[in-house]
Amino acid sequence: MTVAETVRKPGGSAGLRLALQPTLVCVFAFAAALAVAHGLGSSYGATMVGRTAAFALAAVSLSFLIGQGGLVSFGHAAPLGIGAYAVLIAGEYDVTNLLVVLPLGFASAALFSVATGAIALRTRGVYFIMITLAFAQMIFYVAASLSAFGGDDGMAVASRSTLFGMRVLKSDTNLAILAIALLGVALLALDRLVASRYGLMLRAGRANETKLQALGLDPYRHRLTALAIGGGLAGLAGVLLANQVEYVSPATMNWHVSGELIVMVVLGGTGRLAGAVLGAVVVTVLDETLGHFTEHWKLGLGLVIVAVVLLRGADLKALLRGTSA
Amino acid sequence: MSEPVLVLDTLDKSFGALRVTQGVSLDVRQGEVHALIGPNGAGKTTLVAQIAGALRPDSGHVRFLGRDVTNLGVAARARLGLGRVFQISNVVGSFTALENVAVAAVASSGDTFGMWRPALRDRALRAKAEDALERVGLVERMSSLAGDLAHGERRALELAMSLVQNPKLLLLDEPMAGTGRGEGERLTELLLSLKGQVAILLVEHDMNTVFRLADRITVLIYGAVAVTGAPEDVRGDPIVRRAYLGEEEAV
Repeated sequence: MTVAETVRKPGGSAGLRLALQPTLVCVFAFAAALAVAHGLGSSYGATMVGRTAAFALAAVSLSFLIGQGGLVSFGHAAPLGIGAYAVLIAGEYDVTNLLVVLPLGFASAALFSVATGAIALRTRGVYFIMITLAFAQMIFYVAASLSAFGGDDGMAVASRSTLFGMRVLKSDTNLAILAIALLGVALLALDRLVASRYGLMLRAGRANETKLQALGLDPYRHRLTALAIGGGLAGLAGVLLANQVEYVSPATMNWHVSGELIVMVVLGGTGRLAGAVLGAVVVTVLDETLGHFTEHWKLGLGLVIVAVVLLRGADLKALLRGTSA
Repeated sequence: MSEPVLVLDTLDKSFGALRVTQGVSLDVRQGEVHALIGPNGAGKTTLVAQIAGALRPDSGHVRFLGRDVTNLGVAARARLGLGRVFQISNVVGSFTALENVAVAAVASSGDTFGMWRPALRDRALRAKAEDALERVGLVERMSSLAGDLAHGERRALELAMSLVQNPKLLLLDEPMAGTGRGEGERLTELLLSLKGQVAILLVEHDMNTVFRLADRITVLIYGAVAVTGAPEDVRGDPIVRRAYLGEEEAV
């Protein structure tokens, strides 16, 4: 599965309908899982569906950066965590309205991504990976030093987000619905974006920057915009996660989380955005199932990754090409 | 006579003690095919890089369309109308031929930030791209991945990517390199069909092509211009014969 397959669609409406399919499949699968969980009265099931959808959103936003923009960020946990902290900090100031908290999470994460990206984009390849990691570590330690907001340990959020005072997210099912809806909208919007003039420039810059320059376009601003969009969407995922566990700590920004997001993207294939959803499902389900048996469940995950990479080496190659351009 | 499209004014470039470009001055007139030839190591590639904007000369000036572009980068010069076809085919292999041309068309347009409308469903853009593919004879191949095209077709595609931008000058860096006989012939015909429509600076090893296409020829030897003139004058020039064409006679 290469980028080519996602983009090789004719201009006709049939092509667009095809492009919509993976998105619809993802949304319906999540909705079905949620319906089953709800029908069984399993709040654990609803929690799991919501959590998986939130991680899928974060993974999709990273897949957009890696697969479409060639920007392999190893610091994607940072915007995720910033979104979570937006819920915590706003809550401490009695701001819990979703219509404020969601945009706030998006904007603060996007702002961070633009500010750090403006510097990180001056580098390429492995240096870009390392510098994004470095910025994420910086914000990790900043969060750990916020003693008013729990410092190292983090703290519980005042309450789940509301809608004009209504506690709409009190039920885990509703929270899961919100997560699925945001995931669906993000997938649709990103599909659209990827096919647009902007998306064409972004993808061309990933595949062949020298040529794009010779054609008269320096893709710097396009990449910076991509970082803002990807970071902002990760911020939304952070808002969802903070609501779900009702607790926020620097651990959300840990580099392990950044690594796990990359694993999700690679597992699902970098070519299609919806692939990252599959990767997110695999990782969270393995986490939940194997994690019950052994603390060392990541050994199992490691084997899965090795198997996937061996079977579908092309994706990894595409990833490396993106970084070494 | 109107002003030349491109003027190089005593360009100098050294790498350490090696003077790769020595006081090179030449110009490309409107509609002219100006060939740049020279033996291996004559400094053609370095000179091309300075014209394209990838390398800054140590001294001297590059004027394009009457404007001093010495300090402009690759992208800025391309936006002014400098189209470049690389020595090694340089297309996006994972894109279709049509998408490659669309990339070129969008890159030089004012709108590279449209985020909603699918680019390939923009009728005007598509028509423009298909027209460019038509001009190079690739229109039936427009849905093929560029990576699947034959070598000669990829060269033609690169040419289409330049043409769609309505360049004022085409900088062709060894377009015949690596092409088979039939492919080379088709490519030469293609370039002949462009003659007069757009100014071309042709860097080429293949002498048949050069003498068929060029209005004027500049011979570069050891980084300096040995001679500039009409093909027949260059062919007869003793310095050139000794340094370059003479090799053929010796055989």
